[in-house]
Amino acid sequence: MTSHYTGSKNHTPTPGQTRSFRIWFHRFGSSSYFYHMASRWGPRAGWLALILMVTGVYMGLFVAPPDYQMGDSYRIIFIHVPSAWMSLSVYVLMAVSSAIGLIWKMKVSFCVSRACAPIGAAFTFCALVTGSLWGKPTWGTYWIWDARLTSELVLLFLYVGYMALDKAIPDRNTASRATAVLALVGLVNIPIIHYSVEWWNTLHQGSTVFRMDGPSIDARMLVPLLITTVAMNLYFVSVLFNRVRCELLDLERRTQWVRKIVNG
Amino acid sequence: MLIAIIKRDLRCVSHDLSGTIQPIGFFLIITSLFPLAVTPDPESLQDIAPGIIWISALLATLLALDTLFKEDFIDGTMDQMFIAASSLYVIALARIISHWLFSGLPLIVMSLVIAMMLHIPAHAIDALIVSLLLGTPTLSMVGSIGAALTVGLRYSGVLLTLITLPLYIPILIFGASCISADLVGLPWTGQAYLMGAMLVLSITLAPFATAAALRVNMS
Amino acid sequence: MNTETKDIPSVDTHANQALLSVESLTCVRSDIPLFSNLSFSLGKSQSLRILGPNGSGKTTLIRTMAGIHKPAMGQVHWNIGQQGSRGFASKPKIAYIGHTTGIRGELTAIENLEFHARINGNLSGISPTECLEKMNVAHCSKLPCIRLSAGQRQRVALSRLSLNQYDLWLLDEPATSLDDQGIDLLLDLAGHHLNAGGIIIYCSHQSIHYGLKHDREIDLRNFKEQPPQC
Repeated sequence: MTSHYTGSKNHTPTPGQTRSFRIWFHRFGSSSYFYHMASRWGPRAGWLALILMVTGVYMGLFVAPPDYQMGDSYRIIFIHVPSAWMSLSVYVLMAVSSAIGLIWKMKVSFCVSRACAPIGAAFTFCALVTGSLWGKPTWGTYWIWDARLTSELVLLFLYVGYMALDKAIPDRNTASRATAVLALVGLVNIPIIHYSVEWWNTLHQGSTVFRMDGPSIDARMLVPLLITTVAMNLYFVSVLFNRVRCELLDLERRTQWVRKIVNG
Repeated sequence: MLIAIIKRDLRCVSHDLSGTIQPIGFFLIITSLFPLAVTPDPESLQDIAPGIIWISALLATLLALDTLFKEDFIDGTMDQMFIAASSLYVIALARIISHWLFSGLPLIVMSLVIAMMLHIPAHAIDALIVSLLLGTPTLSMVGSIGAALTVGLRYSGVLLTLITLPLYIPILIFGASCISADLVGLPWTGQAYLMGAMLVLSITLAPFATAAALRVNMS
Repeated sequence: MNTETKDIPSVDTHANQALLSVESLTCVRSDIPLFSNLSFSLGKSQSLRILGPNGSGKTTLIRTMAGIHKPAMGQVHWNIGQQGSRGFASKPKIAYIGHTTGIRGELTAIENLEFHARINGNLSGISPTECLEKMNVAHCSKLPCIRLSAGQRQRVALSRLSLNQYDLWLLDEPATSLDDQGIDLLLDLAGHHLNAGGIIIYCSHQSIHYGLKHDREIDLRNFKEQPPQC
């Protein structure tokens, strides 16, 4: 009988792995591929995001009609709602890419989740600030312990915890795997937190966009909302790519492809 | 293995009680601060008592969590246990059980005294006990993940709080509401069932996450 | 049972067949490669000394052998199970003495050993007190270990080696804070272990190696790859 414990990737070594045991060439291909892909598409997404954002905000401020109840103050939804959507979907992306990183040991996906965190936190913060600004004319106060605002606040705590853990662990590999575990735990917890907070208190108006019988808002309001949502997504992609590029350069600073880029 | 670790922890506690007594003392002090800060009026105290008890229980649990794996990690026992067992899952589970036995259980006993001091009427004691019995193991389970994630760090107390407390929110909500409902005579079984569900979920998933986090910090 | 063991003559159980073989081991700490392509094999009663300056990966190698670290590449093979005399289970029995002793301060020496005996399954019938006597620390077996001196604690840790018939001893600077008598006792134990067919892998900067024979030496400096130059 033989017992053996082995390294992570050597049960069926691919030709590439057996040929080169050089660790600093580890994942050479995918990292540099991602880097170059990101350098190409990041700026394009950024410009497109800017154009769409300007269009969406213009339409939201000048084309869309005022709300019959809330007047003009509702126009903050063109920022607030996409930010709130983004805050959640960025967390999901962060957790999913953490899972990919843990399962397939891909460094690039750890870089993606680590780059997601500050952006997601910024979206969450933005959603909270715009939400409370909107709350002043609507509820007469900047803060109400409303279910969705509270959930959003807890989401911000989750992001902060993630980033704090990431900063606290000095070793990079350990940090990215530890934060990956935390992101997954958070992902399992988000629905539980959401529904418990929902159950705890529901004051906010019901969801008005996602309904089985179609959206209940005016098309002139919906179109700018969708445009700003797409713009926010593109903005996210652009910023994410930039951050991942920095992460990759730092991570792979010992490799030749990085030296080539740095030395011009 | 599981039994061996729990037995050893029992031995450690019998030699040095401070690990158990400190969180309980903390629990007692925190709860007695509220009447001083808010009001000694029995009626108002009764209103906020569920919240006081649950927040204090949360914090007391956190206090005991910091050393959950750290001692074993620092003195090398974790290495020895890992070589012997090759399963961090068992180690994690054993330590979680010890944590609950030596900090959660005494806390429940102490909560009876505190309930009296906060003027919780006798008819609400059952909700208090049930909610704590269902809730504190969940706190130990979920908290162990945070403890395992921060095990390699020297000063991890605040960080542990930062990453664990958001995860505790559902338990806080249902635990406190369980007692509140019973105080005003409403049925509280719904909340208790939900807490039971969370306990089952955390028993299923948390030890795996804890083991994964320990694995990350060991290599 | 598997392909690795078929070319080993099963008749001669005392031949120095490879009991433990390490193949192209590569270890990385914090993205920095420590050593790569390290291969060696050890048979019964053999010992290996690991050499290398501070930071060359001695501790990492020992912890990798213990299964605590995962190597970046390569593997550790155990060809065990065919010898009836030592009654090998499929899992090798490893004793690891590291920089941290694994001794809990609140517990007495006896309680510490009892705990280690329990988690390692059962033993060779030697009582914890006997183990402590072998390292000459039985007189303080009733004291909480936090009250012992560093050398005494190291002796308590080393007493664990007698708890079981281990296949492999992994000793990381075992002579740390031991006095001359302690080192002599350790050498005695090590000699018995080797005679009984066990394997020892150790690293030490101290005089222990004058007494402890070693069949093999590995200098980790020879396995360090230079980063590529631009």
